[in-house]
Amino acid sequence: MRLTVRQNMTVFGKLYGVADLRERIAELARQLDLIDLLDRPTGRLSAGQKTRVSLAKALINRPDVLLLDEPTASLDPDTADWVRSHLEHYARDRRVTVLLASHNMTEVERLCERVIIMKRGRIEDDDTPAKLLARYGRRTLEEVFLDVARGSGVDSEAAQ
Amino acid sequence: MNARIESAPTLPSPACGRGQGGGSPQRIGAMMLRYWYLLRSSWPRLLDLVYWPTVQMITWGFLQYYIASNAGFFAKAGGTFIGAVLLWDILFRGQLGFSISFLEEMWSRNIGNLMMSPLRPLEFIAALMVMSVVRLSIGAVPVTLLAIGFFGFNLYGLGLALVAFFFNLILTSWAIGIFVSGLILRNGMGAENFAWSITFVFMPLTCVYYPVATLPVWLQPVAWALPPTYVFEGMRELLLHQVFRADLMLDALALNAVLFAAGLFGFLKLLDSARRHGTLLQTGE
Repeated sequence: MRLTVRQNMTVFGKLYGVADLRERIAELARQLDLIDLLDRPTGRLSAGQKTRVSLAKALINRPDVLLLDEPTASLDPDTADWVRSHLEHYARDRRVTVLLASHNMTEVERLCERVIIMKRGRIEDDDTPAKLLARYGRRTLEEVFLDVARGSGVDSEAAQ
Repeated sequence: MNARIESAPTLPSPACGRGQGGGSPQRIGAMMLRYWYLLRSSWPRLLDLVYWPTVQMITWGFLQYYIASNAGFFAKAGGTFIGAVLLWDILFRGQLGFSISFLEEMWSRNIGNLMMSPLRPLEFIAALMVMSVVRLSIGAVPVTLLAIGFFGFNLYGLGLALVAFFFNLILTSWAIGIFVSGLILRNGMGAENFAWSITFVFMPLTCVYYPVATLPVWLQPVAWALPPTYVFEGMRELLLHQVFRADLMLDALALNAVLFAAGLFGFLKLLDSARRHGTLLQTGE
């Protein structure tokens, strides 16, 4: 956390063998609005700024797969929306796969083409958002989630 | 904040040496760069590297000075205490330097990020080993110069023997550091205390300040099973009798090879266990 944003990105860029590292850092700083933060210690940034730095680190090697674990947890609604928009655009423009773990079903509904619902470490259901809504007869994934969590959803055979 | 954002490249990156047989100097360099950034970002930590070795050297130096002026035998034993202090610091600070760089990753919850990256465990260990030497140098070099100024004891006067002493001690320190890192990976920060204290277990048994013959007979085989014992005996032979015991250094090297391999094996097993039990991401401050 004592490393500056630029140092963090440099280390991870070198770990991933990014060839044009200096340009890549500048590019990500522009895209993620980090230019003014580049030389500040990461530990002194706000939660939203740290999330943008984490995104920059994760994107530094132009990955084909992004793994996101609660990417907008503890963020204010404005920053969370900004992060979701960026992820949406990145996934669409670069045609990459995003594997997202989240309890925020609004976020899941917005970002995901396929949803796997887990309960106590086991997969309870797996389908597109539209088909899940239709199967459970609900209007939102939040309601579907609650059905699954409280055991009041469709029976397991129907879910398959 | 619970958020974690990771990336996993599905395509190998030739530039970072993935998929090749050996390790990647670039990735080892990247980790060294990280530790260098961390080290220079905190002056209290830099000061700490020099502070304790200096205090210890001065304390023992004056004690030896006092004893030498009051006892005939010790008058001839010039430098053995200060030499022992300085060599002990190579062992202790070497291990601590390794462990603290590793702990930086635990404190900043960065282990998960590193394990997601192309960095291999052996490259990670290589970077930690190099950084332990860097940290040790920052702490030890000024102290060895002070020892010349205060007590006229020139560690570098040991010549090539010093290289043999150093190499054996740093190998032991790495072996301990590697194993302790594995313990922390598997058991979390509850095992952090091992990093600070484990080397002190070796202090009485490796006979830092007294000959092995001082120990009870039944304990002496235990002492001879530890590589640093050979170094401290070798140092006393050199300073008291001006004899360099290469045989002791070779014995220490053989034991170190076993200890290092055991430490590495333990680390890899503990890392594997931590991965299977999902404890890698559950550690932190």
